[in-house]
Order: sequence, then structure tokens, then C-alpha cells
Amino acid sequence: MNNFNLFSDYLVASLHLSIPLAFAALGGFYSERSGVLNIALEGMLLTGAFTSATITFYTSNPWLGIVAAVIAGGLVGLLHAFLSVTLRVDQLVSGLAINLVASGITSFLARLIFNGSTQRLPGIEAIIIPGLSQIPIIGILLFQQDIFVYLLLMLIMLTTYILFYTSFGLTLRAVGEYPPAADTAGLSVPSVRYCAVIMSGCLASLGGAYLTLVQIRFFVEGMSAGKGFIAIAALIFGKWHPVGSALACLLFGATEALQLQIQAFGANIPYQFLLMLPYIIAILALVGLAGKSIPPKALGIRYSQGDRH
Amino acid sequence: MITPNKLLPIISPLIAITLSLLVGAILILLAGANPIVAYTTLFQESLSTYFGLGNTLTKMTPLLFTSLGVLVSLRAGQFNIGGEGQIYLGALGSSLIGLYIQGIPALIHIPLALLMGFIFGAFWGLIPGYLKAIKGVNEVITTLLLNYIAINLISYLVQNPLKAPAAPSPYSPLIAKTAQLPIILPGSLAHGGIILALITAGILWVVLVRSPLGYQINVVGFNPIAARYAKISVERTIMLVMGLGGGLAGLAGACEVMGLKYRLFEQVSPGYGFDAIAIAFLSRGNVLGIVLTSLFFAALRSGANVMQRSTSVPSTVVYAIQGLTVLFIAIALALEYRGKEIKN
Repeated sequence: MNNFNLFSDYLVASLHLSIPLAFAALGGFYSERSGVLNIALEGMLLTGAFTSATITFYTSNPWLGIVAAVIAGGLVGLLHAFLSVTLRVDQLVSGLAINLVASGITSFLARLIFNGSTQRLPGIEAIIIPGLSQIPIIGILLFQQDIFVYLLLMLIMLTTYILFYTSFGLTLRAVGEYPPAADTAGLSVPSVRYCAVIMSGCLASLGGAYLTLVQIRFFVEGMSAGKGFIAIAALIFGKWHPVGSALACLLFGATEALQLQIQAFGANIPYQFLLMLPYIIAILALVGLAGKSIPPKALGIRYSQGDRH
Repeated sequence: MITPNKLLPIISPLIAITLSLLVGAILILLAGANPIVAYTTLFQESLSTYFGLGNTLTKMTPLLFTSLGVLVSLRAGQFNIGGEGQIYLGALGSSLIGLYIQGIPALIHIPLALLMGFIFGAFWGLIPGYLKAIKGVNEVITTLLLNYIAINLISYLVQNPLKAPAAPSPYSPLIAKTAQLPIILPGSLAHGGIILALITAGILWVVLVRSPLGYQINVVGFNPIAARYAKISVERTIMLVMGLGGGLAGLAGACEVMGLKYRLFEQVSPGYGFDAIAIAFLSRGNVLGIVLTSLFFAALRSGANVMQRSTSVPSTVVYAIQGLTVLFIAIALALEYRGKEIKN
């Protein structure tokens, strides 16, 4: 029985650690499917974490914190779109600049606002669905979770539907694969990309809000800690597909949970190799050793109507 | 004579730096301090006091090496954002020589340790270089991913096989005295690494601007198709610049070990690899620009703590300023480029 509890605890921990990754990966999914490389996921996560912590700190209302995080993330997305789509700044540089600004400004403002306080913020509690939550393992995993988990599951399904069964999905894919054709068909490449990158910011920012409102319950400088980059790895390993990326996030969440358990038990297993795993898997996937992963064709390439030949 | 056209490349970075310092001033006001006093304290400390200047030069060393590495790759059109990981590998390479080879004169030991730092960094740069040139895998993504593999690898090594006996926190034993770089300003932290970095910058300028190899790299960067017509191997050039870039970042790591900490430790770089991309970009591929921008970034970092102590402005304001500088320069360059497009 004890082993059984340990196992279900481990599954829950894996799920929880994969949630911020999955939000960021879903965000990255929209942006990159539209052809805009999004290194800024890291900065977006951090923005979401900081904004939700600050608003919750002042209003004691975590729900306002979530709303504020979505708005702030959307604004960061808007900035990334403005830089890379309108001004045609290299997408890598734009993303990098956003990461540096987000990390600098949040760690500066955090010292002014929280002043080193690690006071627990009011968080988001789990919603327990009566009856179903009593099913062993599945009950805990699926029916005793907070709003973020339910929202994420819905968003993954919705995104899959949008991508493959709606005209917006077709447009998004066309813009990300071959913008001149989308342009010729009368679609506005910039509008689609703006839309996608703003959504990307909102989603990644939600992942950050999860970190502060559910997981840690206060803001720590640089608390995104490379999660945005793991999300990019998940996106690659999941072949830029919403379900595939979400499963990759679950795998990476599970390795992180295992790594934490090894450290907690002081077991003499080099946990660093588990931490490396997401990155190694992503590289192998790019090279084609773990199922060839091919990026959207127009990813990272600036486009303006003049380029249509 | 200096014509307006020659000044233009400097104007954008200067505007960007001014704007970011202005926004930084607003942040300092938010912290309830006087921006002029804060900035004066910061730059006086980092540029005009003996110890502060030593500190600035110490921080400038890895920034300069790594941004030179980014520059070389950028010249051939390759984005190397793996500087961070290459620094860690370089630190490892030089540490191994410093730890396991004993009893040889410094004149041999130091160059050998530097060389091994270069080789380890170059190896870490060659992986994405090879994948890009031969397999066509985007180097932006692979260099980014390799950073975290390197960081975790070093973390493993200093916690396990390389850990100093009875060390309270994860670090290796001290490297041999003969592998340590000399201090150049006695009583400060400044070590010989900065001289090596400046010499490297000079050599690199000659190679890039005055040599056939530099020409070859530029052609590949500007027009790979033309390069092929000129019988230049694009693949080989890509691997060359990625290896060279990785090696230069490796030297940054080697100098951190050999000049500053004298041992391998967990956090070899607090993000120098990412700052380096910003510096290379801010300098618009110009070697002199890189030297000056590295100095600016290093001065910001080295004066930040003293500013925090005397004006109670959180030192992290300098990271905000750095980020804003990159943001503004990106905008300035994009606008400049647009202006040119319209004129043509």
C-alpha cells in the first residue's frame, strides 16, 4: 500500500511539474506554427509569474492575478510580434531581448515590491469532483486538480481541433509553412502572426501564474529557471503538434519529479543526467534519431509582401 | 574626415544606450533614489577606483572572449547562442590540465591549459556546426539546447568525480599553481586573462578584416550561393566558424578557472553566454565595438553592488538596463535598415 501511495504521489508530482511546461509549449506552438521563432517563452513565463504574484500580493485575489498575468503575457507577445513582424527584427534577437528585459525588470521590481518577503500568497485550491475523484490514481490525477489543469486539458483539445479542423488552423499552418502562398490567397500574414504570437504570450504567462499561484506560492527571482527552454525542447520532441508536445512535457515533468525524488532521498544516482534528458532527446529528435522532427518551414524567417516572387 | 555616413553605425548604439539609461533612471526613481547619484556611484566605482577597475576588467574578460566567439559565427551568418555551454566546457578542459598535470613550468602549463579550454569549447561548438553543415539542423536551437547539457554535465562532475575531498559545496580541488594566470593589478582581482582577450580581439580583427579567411567567412555570411560559385566550401566554413566561436568561448571559461577561481565550480558563468550575444549584436559585428561594449556591460555589473550598498537601489537594475539596451538597439537597427530600404 505504501509503495502504491508513493507511486501515485510520484505521478501527481510529475503532472504538476509538467503543467507550466505544457502551457509554455502550447504558447510556443501557436507562435512557431505561424513561423515566428519564440525563444521569449522563458521571459513570458517569468512575466506571468511576476504579474500574478504582484497583483495577488496587493489584492489578495489570485483570480485577478491570473487575469493580470494573461494580459501582461499578451502584451509581451504583442511586443515580440511588433519587433519581429512589423519592425522585422531578427526573431532570435527579439526573443533574446525580451528574455533579458523580463529577467532584469522582474528581479528589480520584485526586490522593491516583495522586499525579500517569502510570505505565502493566497493560492488557487484544487477542485474536487465528487465521486470520480475517488477512483484510484486516475481520480487524483484527473479529478482532484486545480483550474489550471482542467483549463490546460481543454486548451490542448481545442488547439488540436483548431489546427486541423478549422479555417484558422489551415491559415496558421499556411503562414508558417509557406507565407507567399498564404499571401497570394489574400490572407494577411502579419495579422495571423500577430494573433498567434499574442496568444503565445497569454498561454506561456498562464504557465508562470501556475508557478506562483499553485506551485511555489511566492515569487522568486528567475523562477522560470529554464522552463521556457524545456518547453521549446518539448515542442521539438512533440513535432510541433499540440498533443505530442503535451506528452513530451509530461515526460519531462516526470524526469524532473524523479530527479527531485533522487535528491530528496539522497540516493547516490547522478540526477544531473535526468536534468539533461529533455535537451538530449530534443537534439536527437532534430537529428532524426528519435523520430524525425521537422520545424515549420518558414520558422524564423522574416516575411514582407515584397518577398513574394 | 569623418562623414555622417561613417558616424551612423555609432549613433544607433549610442541612442540605444542613452535611452536604456534613461529608463533605468526611472526605475531608480521608483526605488526612491536619485538617478544621477546612483549612476555616478556606479561608474565611479567601476571605472575610476583601483579595486573597482580590477573588478570590471575581471568581468570584461569572459564577456569579451565569448562575444568574439559569437561575432566569428555571426560573420558567416551563424547564430551561436551556445556560448554559455561552451564556457562551461572550456572551464572543464583547462581544469583537467590544471588538476592532473603537475610539476611542469608555468610557461608550458598555462598555454597547455588554455589550449585544452579552447579545444573543449571548440568541440562543443563543432557539434551544432556539424549538425548545421551536414544535416541541415538549425543551429539556433541546437546551440541553445547544448547549453543546458553542458551546465548539468559540469554540475555532475564537480559533485562527484572531481569534487574536492571534504568540500562543503561542490567544487574541485585547486589547480596547480603553475596553471594559474598572474594577477596584473596587485591587490585586485584583475588577472592576465584580460590581456589575452584583448590580444585575441586584435588578432581576430586582422583575420576577419585583412585575411583571405576573413573574406571567405564574410562571403559565406552574405551570400552562400555566391560562395559556392567562388569554390568556397560553405559546409567547411560553417564548421570552422562554429568551432572557432566555441573555442573562443571556451577560453572565457578557461580564464575564469585559471585567473579567478583556480578551481572548477558549479556556476562558471552567470549568463555571460547570453550577454555575449547582446554585445556582439550591439556592436554590429565590429571588433572595436565589441571591446567597448564588453567594457560597458562589465562596468555595469561590477559597479552594481557598490551602488546598491550606498543608494539602496537593487543591483538588479543593471540587468534591466542591459536588457533594455538590447531591445532599443534592435529597434534602432530595424528602423535604420528600413530607412535604407526606402531610400533605395
